[in-house]
Amino acid sequence: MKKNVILIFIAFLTLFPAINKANGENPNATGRFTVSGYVKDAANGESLIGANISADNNGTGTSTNQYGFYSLSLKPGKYTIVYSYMGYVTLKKTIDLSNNITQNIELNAEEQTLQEVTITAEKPIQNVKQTEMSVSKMNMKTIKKIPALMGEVDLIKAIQLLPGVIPAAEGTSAFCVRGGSADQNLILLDDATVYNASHLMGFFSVFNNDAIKDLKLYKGDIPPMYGGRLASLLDVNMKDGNNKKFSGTGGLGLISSRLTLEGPIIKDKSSFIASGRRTYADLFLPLSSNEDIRHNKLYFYDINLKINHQFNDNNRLYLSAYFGSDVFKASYASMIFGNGTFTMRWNHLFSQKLFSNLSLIYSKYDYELKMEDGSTDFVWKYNMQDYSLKYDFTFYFTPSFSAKYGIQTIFHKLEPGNFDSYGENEIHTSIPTTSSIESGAYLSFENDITNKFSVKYGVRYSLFQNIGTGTVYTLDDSYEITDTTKYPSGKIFNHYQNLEPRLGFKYETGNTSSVKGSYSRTVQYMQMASTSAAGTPLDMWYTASPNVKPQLSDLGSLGYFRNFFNDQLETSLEIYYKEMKNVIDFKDHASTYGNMHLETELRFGDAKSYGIEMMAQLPLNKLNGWLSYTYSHTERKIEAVNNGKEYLAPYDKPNTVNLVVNYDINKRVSIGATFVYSTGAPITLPTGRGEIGNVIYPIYTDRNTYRLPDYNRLDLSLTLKGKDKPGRFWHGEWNFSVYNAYARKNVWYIRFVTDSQNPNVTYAEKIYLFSLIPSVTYNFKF
Amino acid sequence: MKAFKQLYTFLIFFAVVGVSCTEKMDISLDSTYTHLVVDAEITTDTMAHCVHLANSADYFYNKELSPVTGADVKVADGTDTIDFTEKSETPGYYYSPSDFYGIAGKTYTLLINNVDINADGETEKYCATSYLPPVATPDSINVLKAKVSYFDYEIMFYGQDPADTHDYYMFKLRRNNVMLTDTLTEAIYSDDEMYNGLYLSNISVYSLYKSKQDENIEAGDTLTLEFSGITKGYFKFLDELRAETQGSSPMGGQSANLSTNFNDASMVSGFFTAYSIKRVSHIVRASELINN
Repeated sequence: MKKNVILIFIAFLTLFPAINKANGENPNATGRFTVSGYVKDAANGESLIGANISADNNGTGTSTNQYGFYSLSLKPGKYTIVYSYMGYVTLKKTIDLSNNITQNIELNAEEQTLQEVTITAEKPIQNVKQTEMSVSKMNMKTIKKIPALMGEVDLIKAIQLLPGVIPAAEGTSAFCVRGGSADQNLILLDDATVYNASHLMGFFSVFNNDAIKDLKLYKGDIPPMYGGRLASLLDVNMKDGNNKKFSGTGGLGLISSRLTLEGPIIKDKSSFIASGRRTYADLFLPLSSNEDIRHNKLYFYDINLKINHQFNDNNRLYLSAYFGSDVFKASYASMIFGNGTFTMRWNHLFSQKLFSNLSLIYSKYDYELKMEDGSTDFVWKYNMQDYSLKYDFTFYFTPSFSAKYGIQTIFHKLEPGNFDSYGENEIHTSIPTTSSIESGAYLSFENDITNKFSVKYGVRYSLFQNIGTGTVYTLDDSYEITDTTKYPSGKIFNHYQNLEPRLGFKYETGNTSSVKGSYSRTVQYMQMASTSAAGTPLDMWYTASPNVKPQLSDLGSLGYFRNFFNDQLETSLEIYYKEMKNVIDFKDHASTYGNMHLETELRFGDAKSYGIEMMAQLPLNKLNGWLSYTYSHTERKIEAVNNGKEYLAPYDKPNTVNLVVNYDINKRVSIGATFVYSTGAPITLPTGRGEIGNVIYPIYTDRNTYRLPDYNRLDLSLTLKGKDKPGRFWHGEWNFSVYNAYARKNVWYIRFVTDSQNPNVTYAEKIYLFSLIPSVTYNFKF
Repeated sequence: MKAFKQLYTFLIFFAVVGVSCTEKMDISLDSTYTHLVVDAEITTDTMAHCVHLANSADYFYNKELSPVTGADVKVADGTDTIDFTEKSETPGYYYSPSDFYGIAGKTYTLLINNVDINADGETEKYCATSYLPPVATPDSINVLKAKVSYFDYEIMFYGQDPADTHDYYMFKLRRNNVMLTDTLTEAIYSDDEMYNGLYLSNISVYSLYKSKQDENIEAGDTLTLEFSGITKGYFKFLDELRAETQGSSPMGGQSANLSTNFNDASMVSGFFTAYSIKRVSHIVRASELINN
């Protein structure tokens, strides 16, 4: 069956361009001509994503895609095309559409006095007009206004301030969206998957803001173009690089420093951007009260590189790469982990109506642990790599009807563990490598049925195949291994396939309000073996297999969007309900690290989640920001866990409130504040005690029936810009910030300790990570 | 030869928690119904072996657990049944005759009758079974100054691991016949996954800290390593006990009850273990000590 589906898609792909080429010069079947092109920033040539193009304000319009391309097919005639983008001066161009026209546009940024902190990149009214829901776009200006932690505002810390995004725990960048676990978010950097987006301590993610152009978070309503994760998509796009003049930006801080250089290779045609960042967190370790760690090393670095070249109006090539690493060294042990990604992308216009992108992608995550245990050295290595091909097409029929289709295939290679021990005895063991192929094909349509009512509908077909060499353990009802089967290299010994429908609608109930709804099914074939809520950098990923079915999620959401006070106040309210099947948890006291037979530790069941997300945004001039509230409930029911009874998921958070405010006192001074409140995470605490071998141990009743104390925190920041003399090429600013301004000792975890004097006495201790942390950074731009 | 997994979680714990802070906190916990808590061991030594029965209590009970008295405690080995009698001066502690010893290769069943843990007027019966694994004879041990800075001495082990069996080991240490590993979580335990069939030489099995008074060894001290063969079930139990009493963190797993080999896990907590012990000693020489 799957062979036929693939054949159909290949036929589809080849037919479309052929049909279009034939209609190059004449009006096409619907009697329209096309005006298309790219929209860019006039100052640096960066393509603008999501810029709006409308024809005479009659409702017909479109927006630029991820590469800045737009296409409008209209009946012949005179039109005033309006190009607009938040933060830029609107441009109007009158055209006489009697032929297909290519019109590339450059927009000028508005004066810097009107810096606005907004979530959506478009004009406020677009919040109401778009069919997309459950999606948040953040532009980099917004992120930079949020009080910085350790002098840098982190992209993931910023999205954790949006409704519906819950931080998994302090000390990590992991986040949970609508009842999904931290490994259910697809994080892409220029199309490449980033498996571990956290650096140590969780203050920084792997994304260096200075290299990033744009990010979009889909909390549901994930487009059919993407698959492989249940809960969300975080799509991060790197800047292309200033193709007009050489420029740079950077910062020097107490904990980290960064530098970005960009410039043209051939003016207006090709450019590069190179970014680097390094922390020297170990600078403050010597101040620790813990003697053991004073001589430790703790640092990380990130490097982003990108080159792009425009061959002609129809062909563009992008090469992007990222690599980074966290290093922790103590006197007896060291740990290094890091991601690496490489993407080659080729934009090709088959015609003015058919845009395509071909991506070749490589992504890896690995770590290495070394330990000296007296006379023996241990080395543990983990490695995972993806090799992927992705071919996507957008066909712009008319401004009110477009189609997207494409295929994707990823080869996953996982080496879960290579263990070497060097001492008197030399020992080498490894957990068998697993290989698999994850493929998808999709077709979707967007249709403005009337001026007020739009729909989008599509389906993704996904196929997962386990490919040898591979080892499969047959398990009995008690998860004991009864048989082992080995498969030779290249043999496909198991497959799963699924259809994932994705539907949505938007109905404008008034000029400034709309109702949106969506349903989507997503499937996940690969997950992380974490016994903790947040996960650790050492967790291993494992795939679906004969013993592990793919996880499924069905999500329905409904939202109401309304703008007040002449679009000065944007509000939204969304409710969702999600059911998940084949959800995975672990048996009690499961052992995941270095486990040769991980599948014996897994237990399966269902989960459900529902919630409300509300947000009010103030995109005003001097005072701006937003307030968000989230209610979220998530529970699981898994046989052999908690005696088969329902229990709260570790990231069930009834109430979360985020308030972000920024105020420009004058041209040079601005202050900001972030306040975060959330209900404490569920935890299992003892209800009784036993004693064995002179050790007091806990007895528990049900799982996750207690909660940690509530979490709240206030961050403050003050930014002082240097005097902006005309003709001055160097711009600098000082940023002072304080994390956790009232030094609340937010409980990270609770543990129980036996009194050293009296072994019968136990008491509770709270562990907290961060008290008040001030920092100073000097940021510059040239 | 320490359990490798411990080092893993230790490392992560250290990397992040090393910079965290702790503070005592007040917390109120609920209660649960009373469980029977059993601490029962049979070894190959000839002595009065002990079964300790107690009632579980609230987590912050902070006193010795109340004993379960008047129970009928027996151990059967398939042919004989040995009575364990309660001594009046130590209620809750039931002892075998002092000439009883466990035999490697046999399977023992602990039977507990005449207890009424749920206080409903009717007596209950509980039982648990354990195989008593044999253990290879260790060759010798040695004391070395530690090469790393975080402890002072290492006890080095020499011995052969049998190739044809999955073996699980426990190590306890005595100094001049006084048990240093007097709490169960101080005992070291290991499986032979990494070492199956190998002759182990110079493997560190124990660490000593000079700063602890009882571990500050002197020339002439006799260090005795008790090398035991334990069952897989007990090995897992020791691992769970360590996880539940030390190193709790959000990076670790979810809390859950310790496993038990008793027939009714909802009413009984604890473990019945049977293991063999072989001993090997070493007299500390002055040249092996760290001079102040």
